[in-house]
Amino acid sequence: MRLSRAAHILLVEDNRMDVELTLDAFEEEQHGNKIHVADGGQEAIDYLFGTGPFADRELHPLPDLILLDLKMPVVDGQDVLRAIKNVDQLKRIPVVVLSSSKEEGDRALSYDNGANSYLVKPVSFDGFLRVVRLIDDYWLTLNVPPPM
Amino acid sequence: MQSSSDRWHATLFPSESRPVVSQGHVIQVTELEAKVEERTTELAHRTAQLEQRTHQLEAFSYSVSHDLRAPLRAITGFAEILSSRYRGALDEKGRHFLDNILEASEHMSRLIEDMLSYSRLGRAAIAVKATSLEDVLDVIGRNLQAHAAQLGVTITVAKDLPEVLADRTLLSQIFSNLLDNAVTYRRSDVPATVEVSWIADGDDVVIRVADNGIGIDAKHFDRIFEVFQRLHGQDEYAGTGIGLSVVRKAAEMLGGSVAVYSALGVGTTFEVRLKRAGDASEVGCSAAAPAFDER
Repeated sequence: MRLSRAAHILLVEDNRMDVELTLDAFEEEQHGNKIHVADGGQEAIDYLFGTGPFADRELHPLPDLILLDLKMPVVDGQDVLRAIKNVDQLKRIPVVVLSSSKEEGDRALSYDNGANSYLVKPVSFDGFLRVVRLIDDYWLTLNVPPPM
Repeated sequence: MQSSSDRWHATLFPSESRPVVSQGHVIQVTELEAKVEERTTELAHRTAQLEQRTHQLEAFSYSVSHDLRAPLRAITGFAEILSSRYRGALDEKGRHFLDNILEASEHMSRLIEDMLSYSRLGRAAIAVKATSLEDVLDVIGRNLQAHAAQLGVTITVAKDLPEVLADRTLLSQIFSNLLDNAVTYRRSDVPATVEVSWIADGDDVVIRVADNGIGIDAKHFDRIFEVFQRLHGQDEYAGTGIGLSVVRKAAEMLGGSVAVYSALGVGTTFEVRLKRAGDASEVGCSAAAPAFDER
């Protein structure tokens, strides 16, 4: 069910080039989603809890979807999942893990910590385009969002 | 259970349970026992050290491979963007260089994936249970079908493949690598065929993957199972040199083995020996029959 407004996506990614590729892929697909970028796990937690520079919810609204990298220094993706999936105001926001890792341990822990989906980052840009298209088709169009 | 010293006694004095010997001989035997115990302990210690080092190396290669993915994704991703959006702005030489980057990054991507598969073999937990060879080969066949058809390769798989005692992922890695190789190393002068068949041998099942490809010189039979060993240049036949080492490692992890029979210019047969699941007394075999739709 497509939202009546532009969807807000929080991209949690500390690798600048991965951020550029993801943003470019979203731009190429032209879905008009608004992407907010959190440079690492701590910044994602600050954004979601509305603390520090992210206190203004007009400028930094709660996202409709979180795209979460796992391997990040200090506060990693699993820490972010644990932090938000135990909080009533945040736990229903769908989290799609977007990681380079196919490891069984990473997948198991992500789902244990409440991830709603797990995708492996593609190597090619065509792969990125496909992932972005499918995320939009499923999570922001077909999927019925949770009541917030 | 016999201790190592008991075994030494039995070897030294096979006709008697304990030797009737002079004092001098007893001292010699006691010294020998002590030496054997010492060497056994030393050997156990070295084995543990080697195992630890192997695990460290596997963890290292996994970590390196994993970390290499991020820069590679940037190289591939931005080169693809350049190619799709700005190709027209480059002259012929520039386009050629860009294609080189794309080709090299694709090769590196395959290398990283194969290294990850290999290092994962040593770290991942495996679940050995009755596993259907038919299911595993069916999935591999479906994945390979379009590629094989495009190259004009006919793949036939025996019917009634048995269940074997195996971990499904390892089993899949064994046969996807073997089939992939069989399709890759084909001859240009004959229609390429790949045949998967099996025979029962006591409690074992021997699965054969036979092709009519370029073949392998017998002097390279050992070398092909080593990591990163290749017999052909990248331009001749694309590959990473890891596939067959994955096959051997996976087969050995399942308590099985792999053997190769080949003749240059005739073809190659790989034999994978695994434990049969269920009633092992049942003896049977099956001829190859078309299984993949080659249209």
